[in-house]
Amino acid sequence: MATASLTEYLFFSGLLFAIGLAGVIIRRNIIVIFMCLEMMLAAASLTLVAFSRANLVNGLPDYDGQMLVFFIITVAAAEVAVGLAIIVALYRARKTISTDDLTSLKN
Amino acid sequence: MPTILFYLFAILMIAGGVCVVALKNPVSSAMGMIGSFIGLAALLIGLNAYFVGTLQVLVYAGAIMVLFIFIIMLLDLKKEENKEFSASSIAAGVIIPLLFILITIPVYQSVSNDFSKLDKKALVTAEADLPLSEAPKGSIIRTKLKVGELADVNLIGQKLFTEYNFPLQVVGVLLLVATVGCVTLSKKLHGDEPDANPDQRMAKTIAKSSSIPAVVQPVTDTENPEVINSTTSKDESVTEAAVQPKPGTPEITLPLNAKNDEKLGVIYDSRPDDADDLFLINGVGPIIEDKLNGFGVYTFKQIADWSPEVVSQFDDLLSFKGRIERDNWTAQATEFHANKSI
Repeated sequence: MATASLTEYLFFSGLLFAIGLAGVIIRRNIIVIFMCLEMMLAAASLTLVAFSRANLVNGLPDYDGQMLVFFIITVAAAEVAVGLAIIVALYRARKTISTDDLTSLKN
Repeated sequence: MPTILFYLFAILMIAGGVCVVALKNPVSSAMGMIGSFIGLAALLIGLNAYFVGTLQVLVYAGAIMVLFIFIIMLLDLKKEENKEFSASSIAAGVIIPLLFILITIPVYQSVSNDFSKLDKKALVTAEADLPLSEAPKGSIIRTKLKVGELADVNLIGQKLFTEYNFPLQVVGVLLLVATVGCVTLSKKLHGDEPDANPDQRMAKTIAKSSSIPAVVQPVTDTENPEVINSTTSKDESVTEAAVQPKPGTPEITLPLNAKNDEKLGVIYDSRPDDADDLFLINGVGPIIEDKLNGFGVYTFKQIADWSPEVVSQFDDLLSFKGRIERDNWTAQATEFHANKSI
């Protein structure tokens, strides 16, 4: 049976990364921006796993790449917890989470 | 993985990603994100990374996205929805990712190798090649590989607790620090927080104790317009409240730099000394506050006195489509003003 090639996996993960990047630039809602950042991290994880599967070590996938993904997921979870706590604190203080209105550092 | 399944899940992943960026409701964005992560997890499983794929569903699509939806529901974000994206940010958001894709094209061209098969025969040879230091004789890894199963979890566990033991401990500390950080951030700060909440709470309690309006009203009703005129500017804000509703006499109590506009109510020519922080009103951000100041609106008192006609006038000026009424600015401003003059 035909299988997808490494190039296809890389292309789709690159596409997902690009979509996440577009979201970070276009959106003004800080929660959605944060979600797009997570999407970019996940796209990078897919690349790592694809390369880990492509470069066999002793006939088995290179698990170093998957270890990196494991740590990325852990750090992302911690990051989301802290980031959302900051967003809630920000909302309590300013009553908005739109990046257009959060410009107090400009002055 | 059969190609058709690959494309099915890849398109699910990309479509979810597009939903996140394109949909304006944050809850829809979060749902698109979950779909995207499920497609991604399926692709990971197609790459024989069963453990990472499961982790992707459990941690990302499960825990993290639930946390996101929880926060979206917790914060009332309805009024953020109807904002249009600006043309310049859309242009930047299309061009920069396109440049990124252009950069990655040489990578796609340089790696054209297909995946080598991981079937039973390949796994049995791999078991024979596996050094004893990585998997001792009779270990689960070896027994599974011998029968042609990829012992994914066992191999990852083996690596995690030998080669990557120190990073694992560091990640444990990181999670502890994150927990402490969350608790600290969520704790209510007293005094040093520039928070709108204490003011609002105070305004509410004042509004609830009905004695305050009862006190303000009789005093101002019996007051003589001439007496009001001679009072200091500090008292003016209180006395003005009662005089305002009577047509014909409002000019008497107005400060020097203010005038009574037919359409916009009382407006100031220049910034008065007792200007209020209008952004405390729910629905007024710093940007709208600047706009209101531009129209000569500086105090809660002015907004509190807006008649329905003035409200609709400002609604048109700020192109709000009824938001002033929806957020009930006049009632909020009345509360803030009552709080201020006490």
